[in-house]
Amino acid sequence: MTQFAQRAVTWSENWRRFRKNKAALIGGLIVLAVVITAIIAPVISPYNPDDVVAGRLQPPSNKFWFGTDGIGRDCLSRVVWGSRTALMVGLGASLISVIVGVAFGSIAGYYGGIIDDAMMRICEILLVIPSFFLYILIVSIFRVRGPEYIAVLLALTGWTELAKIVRVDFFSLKEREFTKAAIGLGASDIHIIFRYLLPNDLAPIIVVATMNIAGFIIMEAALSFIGLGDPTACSWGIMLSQGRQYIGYAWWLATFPGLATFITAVGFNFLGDGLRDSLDPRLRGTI
Amino acid sequence: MTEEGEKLLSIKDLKTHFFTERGVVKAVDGINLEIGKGKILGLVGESGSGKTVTALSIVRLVSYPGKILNGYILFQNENLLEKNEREMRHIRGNRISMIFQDPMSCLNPVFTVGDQVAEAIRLHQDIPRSEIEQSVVNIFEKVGIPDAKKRLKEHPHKFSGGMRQRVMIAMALSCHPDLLIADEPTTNLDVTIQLQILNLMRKIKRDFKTSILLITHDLGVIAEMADHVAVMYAGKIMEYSDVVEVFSNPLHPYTKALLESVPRLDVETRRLRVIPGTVPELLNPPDGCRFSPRCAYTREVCRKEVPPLIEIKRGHSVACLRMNDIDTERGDNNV
Repeated sequence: MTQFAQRAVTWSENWRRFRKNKAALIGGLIVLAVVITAIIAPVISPYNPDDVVAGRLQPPSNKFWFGTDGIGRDCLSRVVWGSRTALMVGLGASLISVIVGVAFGSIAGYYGGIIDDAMMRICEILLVIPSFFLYILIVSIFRVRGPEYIAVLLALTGWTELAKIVRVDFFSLKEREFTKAAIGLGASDIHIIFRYLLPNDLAPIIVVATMNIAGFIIMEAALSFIGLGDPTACSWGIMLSQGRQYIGYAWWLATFPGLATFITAVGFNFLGDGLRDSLDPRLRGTI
Repeated sequence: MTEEGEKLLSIKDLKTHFFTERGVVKAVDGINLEIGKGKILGLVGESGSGKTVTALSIVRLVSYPGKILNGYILFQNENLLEKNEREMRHIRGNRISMIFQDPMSCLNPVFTVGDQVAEAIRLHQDIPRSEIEQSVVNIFEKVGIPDAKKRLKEHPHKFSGGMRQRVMIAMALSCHPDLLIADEPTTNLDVTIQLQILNLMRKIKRDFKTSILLITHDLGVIAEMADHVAVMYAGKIMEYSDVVEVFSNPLHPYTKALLESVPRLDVETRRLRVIPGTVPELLNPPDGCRFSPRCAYTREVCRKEVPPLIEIKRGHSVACLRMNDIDTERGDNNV
């Protein structure tokens, strides 16, 4: 019964708790800033990110705040536009992994038995393959490069954690009295899953999905850095990788995209942490 | 087991066993029950006597590793044990509804109570969306939730235990079921609220002609509510009769012992009697009569033969081999 009382806290209560958490609020503001930057990128970026606007390797100045790169493009504009790629990969991969993971976990967790066994083995197979090598393998076989492909690629293995979480939560939720009562009233399987199990499992799904975004953004940067991204795209990872060769005498090339990646990842992590602290019933009362 | 009036439900020789790793648990082991139209049957027994399993068997919600092995459950002349899952789903909540012991956890915390009652209605009835709110308000008023229009927009955590039980009853009644199974509906409520809920159930029985299977271990509730009583012990029915008969003329030693262990205001006693021992573990039920290890009147024969449920008087059945002797003999508590 106490467990139930904890679960029954409303979203307005969650919001109040979230607001009190400084780190979460900062994370939320960073995420908001990145999202706004990405949306209004054409407005705020001083130059077209693909245009050669000055001599190569100009240090940061009043005209070019973040300097210019190896072929004379404005770094600030490229960092601003890079937020679009980062968000597209991060949000896209997270969205796909939520859809796949939740569907997979729901079916395994609700039906249990042999279905669950089979599905979990598939999950484990994906988990034991080192995902980085899998990415390299797939990119080199299919020669797919763009950020949208990277999003799909990252989601390919990224959904397993969510599937496991949803599955385990379903095991316990389907034994709860309100589920049993609904079955007693003649509710169908689909009905039970969508009205009783999933809505009660939203909090952990949201938390994990948010935390995953940070991981996906870093992963995209890493993949681009080792040369698996689209070299013509405006991506922080690619900027890092291209800046590497000039690191000795043009520090700004790698520094600004690196900072952008770092701050965005920290933002999503703080946000995820804050969400967990305010949504997770097991932690409630400890803060 | 004959009674006046029409039968709504009759259970014959129902066996529900649980196949656990440690062995077979005979939770319900060959019981017969009948519920008349518009009547309340009280099913009493200690914890673990198989009352809830009986209820779950009726709606076919016994979960793994439990299995209904034998018997039939005749509901409005249809055998529920022959129905497939889809047909059962149509019966559950529509023709047979259940309410449970713990109203605090029986409502979905993420939706408003109005939503949930509306959903219960929509599961079985084709009511247009525009009219559904009105029907929810009507049901709320029927089960005595004040300020229904406002309260149906609130989430369950804003409701007290008694109010939640009313919501549960509202959901259970939303499709006017013929049979309401109430599994300890008042156990977790305080006494004044208990009385209100019991009165509500009586009103439901009267207004809707709903039959009720009332499961409880509270003999006081049974005396207040039931028309007939079945006393269950260790998966078997020990005594079955109408309520007056059971309380005034109990014949089974177990029923007698149960009644003696209820505190009474009108009789002065220093100590309440208790029944020695505990309900037997159903993995290894005692041979013969299942009550024999705890019974004050046990003889050799009780440990060997299983007593059949015999109708000794019109509408009064008892499962005891020695019921004719024990009136003349004092129990000697040979446990």
